[in-house]
Amino acid sequence: MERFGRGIRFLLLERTRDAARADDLFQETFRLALEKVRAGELREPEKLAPFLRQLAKNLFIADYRKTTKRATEDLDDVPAPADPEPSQLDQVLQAEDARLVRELLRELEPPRDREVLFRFYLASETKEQICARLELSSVQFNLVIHRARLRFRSLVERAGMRPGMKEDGGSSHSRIRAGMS
Amino acid sequence: MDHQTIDETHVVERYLLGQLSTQEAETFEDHYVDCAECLDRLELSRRLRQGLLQVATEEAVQAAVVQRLGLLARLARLGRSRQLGLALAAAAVLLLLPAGLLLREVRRLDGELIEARKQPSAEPGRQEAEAARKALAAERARAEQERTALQQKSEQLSAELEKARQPQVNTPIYPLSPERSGPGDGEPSNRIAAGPATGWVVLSLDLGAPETSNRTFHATLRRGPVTIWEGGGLHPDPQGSLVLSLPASLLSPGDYSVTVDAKNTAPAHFTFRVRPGR
Repeated sequence: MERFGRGIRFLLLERTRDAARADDLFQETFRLALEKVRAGELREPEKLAPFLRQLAKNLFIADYRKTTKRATEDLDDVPAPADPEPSQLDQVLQAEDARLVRELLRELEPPRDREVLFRFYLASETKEQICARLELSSVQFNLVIHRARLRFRSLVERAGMRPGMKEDGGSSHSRIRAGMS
Repeated sequence: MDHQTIDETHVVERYLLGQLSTQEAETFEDHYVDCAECLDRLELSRRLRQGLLQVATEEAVQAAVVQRLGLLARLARLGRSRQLGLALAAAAVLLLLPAGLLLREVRRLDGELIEARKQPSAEPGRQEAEAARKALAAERARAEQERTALQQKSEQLSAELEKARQPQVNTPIYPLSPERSGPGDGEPSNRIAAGPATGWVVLSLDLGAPETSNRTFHATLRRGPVTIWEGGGLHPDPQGSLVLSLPASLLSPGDYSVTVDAKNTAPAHFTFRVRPGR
């Protein structure tokens, strides 16, 4: 759990976009994994990562189906869903990330680099499309993304908000703990 | 999956954007669940993306406000120069909606400014807020006038359209023969009565031989020297007559001429006088 916990949590959070649901599925994944390992269902130990990944995804799919089925059976009986709004702490962290991104954008030269970031990260344009539109070579494009990533990392670290270094990775609490450690 | 490939092909970003194939995504997931370096990159890229999204959203909101104010100014200018006619009825109806929405937006902004003025923290910017409020109030007044004018025009056009949709009874039909002399020579011998209740007037223009029915003509209706209407690609009926239906509102009292011509044919002139009717 210590070794794979952070990755499995990230995977579940990426699927559910809901920290509470991700936490529930995370617990269930490792409970079930332990049962199956004890029952000898994992025949090749080196395939533990794919095994856990598939287990987490199956649980997510089953949970998703259960939720949507409940919703279509009787809307009145559906329990209130988890609050999709970010918590106050997450809102603070998001605002801080936005501040860091603004700082990053201010530093980017030439301004075309800003456009590369927006097109790549937000407009979901492919590298080939962006290179063609902005007349960039593949190397130039890679350089822009690489520099932006490095600079953002250093800004994050300077702000004491390093990416998750603890076993439970992506949650806001772990980010704070990591930053304070 | 090695880190050089992941870096060079931007696997981390493409995974977050959902641009990897199912197989690629699964291979990368099998890798990153056990790779702290890739998890760091994933979290960092996700935060970078969310930050960019928030910055872009804020900039879009600011741009939208500026754009709305620009639209408002353009709308205010429209009313002074535009002559609306029957052909613009649809445009007038379409204009009413944005005008109403803009007016509502101005009222909302106005309300916000009034509220802002009540706040002690807004004191340093009070003069600017006051100036902005006055500018918005002026824009609102102009938009209000514009909306009222458009609404009146729309109602008038709707009434005309409704009237035009009704069946016409005893529509007057005037058979006209071509003048021997050219237009403008003498007084028109044909008389047509047209008034507010007339609705439509039908002119049957005799072009002569029936063999003209397979030719294409061009017709021009003039009141004195002014062209009221013209149309091309017209085909006479099998009897060699060109039948024109005209709304009586087009025919104010006066002398009119219709010139009908075709390629390699001498033009035919028809004249008539419209006098006030019921």
